[in-house]
Amino acid sequence: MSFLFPIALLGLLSLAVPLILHFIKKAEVQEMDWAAMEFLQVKEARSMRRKSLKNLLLLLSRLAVLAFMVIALARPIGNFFSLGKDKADSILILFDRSAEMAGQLSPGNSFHDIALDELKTALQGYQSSTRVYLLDSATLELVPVLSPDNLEFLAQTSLVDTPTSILQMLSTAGGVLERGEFGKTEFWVVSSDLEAAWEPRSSSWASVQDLVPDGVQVRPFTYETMLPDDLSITLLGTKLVQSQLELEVEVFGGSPGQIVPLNGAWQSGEKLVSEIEIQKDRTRYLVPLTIEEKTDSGSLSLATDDNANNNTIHFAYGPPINVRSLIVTDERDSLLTNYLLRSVALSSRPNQKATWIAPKDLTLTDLSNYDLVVWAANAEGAEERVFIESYVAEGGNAVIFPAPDNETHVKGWFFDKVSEAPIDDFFTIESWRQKDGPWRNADSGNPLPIAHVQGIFVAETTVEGSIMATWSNEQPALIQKFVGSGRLYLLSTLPMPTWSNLENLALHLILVQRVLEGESSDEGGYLQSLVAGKAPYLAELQSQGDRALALNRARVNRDKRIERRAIAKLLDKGELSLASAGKRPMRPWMQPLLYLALLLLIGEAVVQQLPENFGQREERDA
Amino acid sequence: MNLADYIDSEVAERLKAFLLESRFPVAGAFTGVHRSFLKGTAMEFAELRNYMPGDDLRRMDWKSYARSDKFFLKEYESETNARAYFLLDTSGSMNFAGHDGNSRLTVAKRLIAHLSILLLAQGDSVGVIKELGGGMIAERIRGESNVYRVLNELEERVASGREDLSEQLHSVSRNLPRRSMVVIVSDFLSPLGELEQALQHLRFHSHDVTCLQVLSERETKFDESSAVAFRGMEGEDVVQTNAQVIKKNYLKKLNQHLEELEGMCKRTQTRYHRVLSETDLEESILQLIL
Repeated sequence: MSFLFPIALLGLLSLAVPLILHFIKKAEVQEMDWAAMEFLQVKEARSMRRKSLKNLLLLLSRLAVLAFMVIALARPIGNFFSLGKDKADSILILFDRSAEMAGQLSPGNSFHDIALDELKTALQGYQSSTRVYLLDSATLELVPVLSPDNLEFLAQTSLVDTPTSILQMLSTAGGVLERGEFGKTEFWVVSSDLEAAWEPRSSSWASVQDLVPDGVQVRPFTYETMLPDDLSITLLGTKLVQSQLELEVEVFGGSPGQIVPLNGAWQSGEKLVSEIEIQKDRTRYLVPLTIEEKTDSGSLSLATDDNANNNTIHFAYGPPINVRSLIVTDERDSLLTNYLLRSVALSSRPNQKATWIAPKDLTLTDLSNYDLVVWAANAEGAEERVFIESYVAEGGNAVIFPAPDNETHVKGWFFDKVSEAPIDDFFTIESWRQKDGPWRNADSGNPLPIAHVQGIFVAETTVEGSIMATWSNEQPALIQKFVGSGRLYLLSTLPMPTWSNLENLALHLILVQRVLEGESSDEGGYLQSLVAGKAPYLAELQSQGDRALALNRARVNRDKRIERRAIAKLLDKGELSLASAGKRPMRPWMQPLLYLALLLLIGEAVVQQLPENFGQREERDA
Repeated sequence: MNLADYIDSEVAERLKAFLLESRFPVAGAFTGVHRSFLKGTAMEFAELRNYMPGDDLRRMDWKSYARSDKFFLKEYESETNARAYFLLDTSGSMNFAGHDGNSRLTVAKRLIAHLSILLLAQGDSVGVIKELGGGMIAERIRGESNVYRVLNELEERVASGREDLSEQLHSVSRNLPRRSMVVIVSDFLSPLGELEQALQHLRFHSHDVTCLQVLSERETKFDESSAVAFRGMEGEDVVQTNAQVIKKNYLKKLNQHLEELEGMCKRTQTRYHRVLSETDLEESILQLIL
């Protein structure tokens, strides 16, 4: 007799526990002659001999039950008084003898060899009266198998070049059943192609189901086709730099030194060829691609294996668009105006343009021409606020700073009075939203230097919105407010040396640039539409104002795990029924239940061996 | 066991300095140390009592008459010897051994041996009661030189099985001469039920009865280990229990039993004395006789 899970037999060692306790308990009991027996009024004084015998029988029966349970968990198969043997009348082995079965699970261990061993072992679990036949994938002829030991010597199990069709084998086997008297029959399907065939989403599954006659149990012998060199690539980001599109990719797998070619093509037709030298298991690379068109999309694949699930990345780019910002300050040539102009129109971003106007000209200006309005001036009246908010509501963005003249307060304005920090002290930002908003952490995960902000003057506000940062005096430092289709930001200090050190930290620049980024990301839909196929993507949209789109692989995932999950689901639903002995997995809830029962039995056997008065208080007379 | 092992000669010598007296008048033929039932013309004036017609006028206390114009008769006490009998319990429980390894039976025999020496030395006779022909009898032994005969009797005694002490005492009452000293040496651990009646029977025959209970500290303190299987010494079933758990209850029951025993002895005018087998022999005997 052999066992499918022989490791479970280690559980037999647990039988020693109640046995040892039994003997310890016996050894601990001191026997002595006693004269004053009348006064030993134990409530249930029984004959020691009778009690010993009863305890011994109880112990033996419990040990026997425990032993049987452990053996059951070890799943015995083979000649064991014919108990546990399955009672199929006939077994039809549908044997894949294609060259693919020569594939090796591990060096020197081919699928073919493993399959023959597993068939022999599985057949031992059946009664000798069960008739066994073999139908091979090449000849599709049924031959009897007189003994499991003969399997490997049958001509019909040797490997040939003829490819396998499981559907064909099943169809043939179904036809055979109709003709003969096979009784209760099981189909044992042995193949390395099995998983692909059993994919429930494939149309072949439905036909497979139809091919299996009613009442026939199917038992698959599957062999995982490992892909030892399964590399995968992920696109992290993309950047348009003049005439080059830089792709930041991450490659998993491979061996150091391995050269991995990347092949692809632009939508416009030009081929893409690149390569990566693997440095370690998980490496990031920059892949520069020369671009010629004004807008295009493409894909690149690792040309190393057939696993299309994780081999390909997709990307797109388009011509840059201008981002226009309007700066409103009291003086054109002031330090503040220069700071703000530099922040909204970076020299490195030629598409960013900025215009200055005086506050009095605000209401005369068509703000719809601008993507961003930055106000850092004295307001003359509440109507300017209304004007700005109307612009924001139409989809614009505005960043409002306090007026440099902190002595003038306009009723109804965004900001109220200004507080000054004590001499030799500063306001600091106590908390801020690090995961979202314009002061979120960098893409690398590093936080911005918000904690280093020092404010001399901070303005109070009664505007209600999302507080993105808070001063140490509990006043909001940065507020974000959605107004209609646009966004309004209030930053309660100025990037001026007399107000704060924001300019040194460039945090106002980060703020406005991120607001501007949000603007350009609206073009992502267009870029996405450029990608071939238009299938839903596991997209990582990257756009840094230059309209380049990084996308990863398509959402349809043909990972082999899905096949295994599908099979598991089918088993649970009963749509795929398996033979009863050996390889059939236990129902998920049965095994933990068996283990729990085993633990309970062991515990009970142990408790039984404890002294009778263990844990009891002193006896009292009735 | 060697006969000589029953006797500690030094202890015996020291004990001879003491007297073991009967509490009640005994009927002895010879002059001894015990009060006699018979108040005769011997020596010691005991008391005056009212004159009854027919009394011997030679005993009239004329001085009392002179003082009180009433007639009183003089009563005298005369000393005589006693007959002492020892009834040794030989039930299986007497084999119980104390901490020192000596069985209760051995301790009892030593006590009887030394008491016998003392009694013989003071002129009393002793006898070790035994069952013969369905009745309890005892050979009277006189003279200190005959102590070996006591020891021989004791040597023959073996403890086993169960014995009905009450029945033995009833037989003793019937068979022994009246007004004897009867010393019952036992563990008295059996149910007391009919013992009181037996003791009353003995008192009815005017015997001076002493219950000499021999126990062990093991029984009176019950400091046994936790898991114990107690084997009965008179055929009872083995009882396995946790001694520490039942200790309090056991001692309570034992003490109740002992109190009952004492009470019963008081009611029946029986002298009661308890000896622990671990206690020094001389000390035990002195406690008895003093």
